[in-house]
Parts: sequence; structure tokens; C-alpha cells
Amino acid sequence: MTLKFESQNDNKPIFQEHLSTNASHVNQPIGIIDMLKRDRFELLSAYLDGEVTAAERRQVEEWLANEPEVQCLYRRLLKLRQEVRSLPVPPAQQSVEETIEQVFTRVNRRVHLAIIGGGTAIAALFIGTMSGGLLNPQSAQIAQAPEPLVAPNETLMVALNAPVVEIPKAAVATPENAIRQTELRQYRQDNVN
Amino acid sequence: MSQSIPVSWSTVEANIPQAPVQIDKLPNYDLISLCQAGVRPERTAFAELLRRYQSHVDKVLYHLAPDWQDRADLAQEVWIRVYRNIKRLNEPVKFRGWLSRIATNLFYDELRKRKRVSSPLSLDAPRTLADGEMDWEIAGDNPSPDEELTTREFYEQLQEAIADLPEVFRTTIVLREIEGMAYEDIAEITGVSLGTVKSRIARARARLQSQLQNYLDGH
Repeated sequence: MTLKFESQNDNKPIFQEHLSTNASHVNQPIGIIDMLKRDRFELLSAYLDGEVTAAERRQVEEWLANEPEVQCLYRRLLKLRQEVRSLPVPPAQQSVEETIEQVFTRVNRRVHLAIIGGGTAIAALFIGTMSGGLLNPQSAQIAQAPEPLVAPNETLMVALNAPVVEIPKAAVATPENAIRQTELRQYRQDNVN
Repeated sequence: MSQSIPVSWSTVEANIPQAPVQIDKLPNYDLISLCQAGVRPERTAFAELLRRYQSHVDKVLYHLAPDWQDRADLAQEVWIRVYRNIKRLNEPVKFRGWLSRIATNLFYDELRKRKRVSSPLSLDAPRTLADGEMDWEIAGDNPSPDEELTTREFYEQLQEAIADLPEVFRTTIVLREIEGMAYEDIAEITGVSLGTVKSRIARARARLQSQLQNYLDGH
């Protein structure tokens, strides 16, 4: 049967070598694999998955029509596929209802965190904007006249002998420092007034 | 005005009790569409979706990571990702494949983390052989030709044979056989060439069929 299969071989010298070294093992269980050249087996395997070109498909179908060994191997691979797909899976580590409960607990926790986080950011942004833009008369002046951007701060710094916190160089309304800026401005205003 | 109000109230009241009764009878497609409606999936609908597909998630995770003890946590994370992203799924008919993909991506994320953490010198580390290192003709502990295997025994052997495959071969064959992925998708998800995928699948099959051929031929 080896020879018959080999007779279909076209230009595969490597397979010839393989054949000569393994011909004595024909009757062993793993003999067929020994006999098949890698790319032939690969082609059969890819054919099983529908991952071949039209020409390759014709080639495999020719083998399947004429080669009992290939037919046998193909049947075996089909059976293997069927069995792998129907392999029993051990009982789940967690019941479905438990999973549902856990998933919603985790989802809701993340949503709450996102709301709290988002809310804080929005509030900080709002406070920052209000203090930096609308409520602060100094900022209003800056908006009207961009040139003295640094000057009012410098004036204020002079007015403040001992600032409680480091004064940022520019008023940036990011969530991290917005509150601190608000406190700072409040402090400045209190001292100036 | 005064007449229209009781009419609308009665309509609302009539609809509310029907919804929970119908949800478990909805076809998958409609259920998935329902989960896509609104800002976030509605709990009853999403819970039903989870009930229907949890066994699939379990199966995929089990085959990808048979020896991980925390697959339940992974499964929860899969569903959290589904919950957040289900609106992005354009075609509800592809939900199953999409779900497999989420589970697989999560598995690979986790695998990468665990590999970084584990010591490279650990003797317990799974064998991660390069492609050239798994022979085609590996003789397993084959049963003698006259030995009859019961179905249960066969499944145990098959399970063992799959678990014994080097990791890259096992995951590749699982993506193909359990998840039904195309070679192109497997190549993308595992970050190798199409040729490597083809070769890994063939070699995994060659080894499995050589180890189990007595049963495969006899049944």
C-alpha cells in the first residue's frame, strides 16, 4: 500500500528517502504517518478544514478516490475531529446563577466607580472653570487682555507672604489641581480683601 | 386629555408583566438584539444570554486552560467584556464566534501575564517548544491492538493526549476544532504565519491520531 500511495507522488524526493527508511514499519500502528510525507498530511489536514486552493482540493480528492491509505487516514481524522468536539467538559467551577450574580456585582461596582470618578472630575472641572473664568474678576480681566497673563499672578505672589501651597505658574483647570487652585484663590482673595 | 391618560396607563400595565415571561422563549437573535438595545444591557435579558452561552464559554476556557484553577474568574471577566461591548457587535448571528474570540483574547492576555510572572527556570513550566521541536512521529503509550476501549476510557485518553500536546499546538488545535476558527483568524490571534498555523494543526492531528488510532479505526 505504501508503494501505491507513493506512485501518486509527483516530485517529492524527500518522501522517497522517508519511504526507504520506513518501509519495514508498515505494519506498525504509527506506520502510516511514517509513510506520509509532511506536506501531504498537511494538505489532507487543511483539506479537512476547507483551507485549500482549488488545485489542492482536486489533488486531495484524487488521492481520496484512489488511495485506500489516504481514505483510512481521512476517516480517522474525521473521527478524531468528531470526538474532540464532543469531549465532555468537567462541571463548571461556578454555577451559572452565581456567575450572573458576580458579573452584575462587578459591573455595577465599576459603573458606580465610573460615576463617582466622572462626577468628581466634572465637579472639579466645574469648580475650576467657575473659579478660573466666571467668578474670579482677575481671570475676567485676563480674558479681556491676554498680555498681562503673568503680571496679576506676580502681584498676588508679592501680596502673599506665606502661601500655604505651591502656586502653579498657570491656572490649569485639571481635576487634580482644580480644588487646590480654588482653595488658593479663595485664600488669595481673603488676604487681598 | 383626561380620556387619553387612562388608556396609556393601561397599555403600560399590560406590557410589564409579559416581558419576564417571554424572555426565555426569545430566539437567540432577538435576545442578543435586546441586549444591544438601550445604554446598557437590561439585566433580565443579559442574564438569559449568559445562561444560554455560559457552557460555551466554559468549554472554550476549559480546552484552552485545562489546568487553571481560576477559570470561573476568567468566565466572569468574559461576560463583563461582553456586557460592555455587545453594542459593538454588528451582526447578532455572529455572537457565538464573537464570544469565543473574547474568551480567547482574555486567555492570551492572561497567559502573557502568567508567563511574565513565572520563572523561566521553573521545572514546572509548561513545555513551550518551537514548531520544529515536536516530531511528527511520536510514539505514545498506545494500547495494544486487541485492547478494547470503552467510550469513557477513550475520552480520558483523548483528554490526556490533548493536554500532553505542547502548549502552542494544543491552543491552535482548540481554536480550530472547538472554536471553529479559520486559519487566518488563528494566525492573527496567535501572531504567527498562516503556514505555521497549518503546520501546527497538522502536527497536532498527526500525533493525536497516532496515539488513538486503535479506537479511531475501531468505532
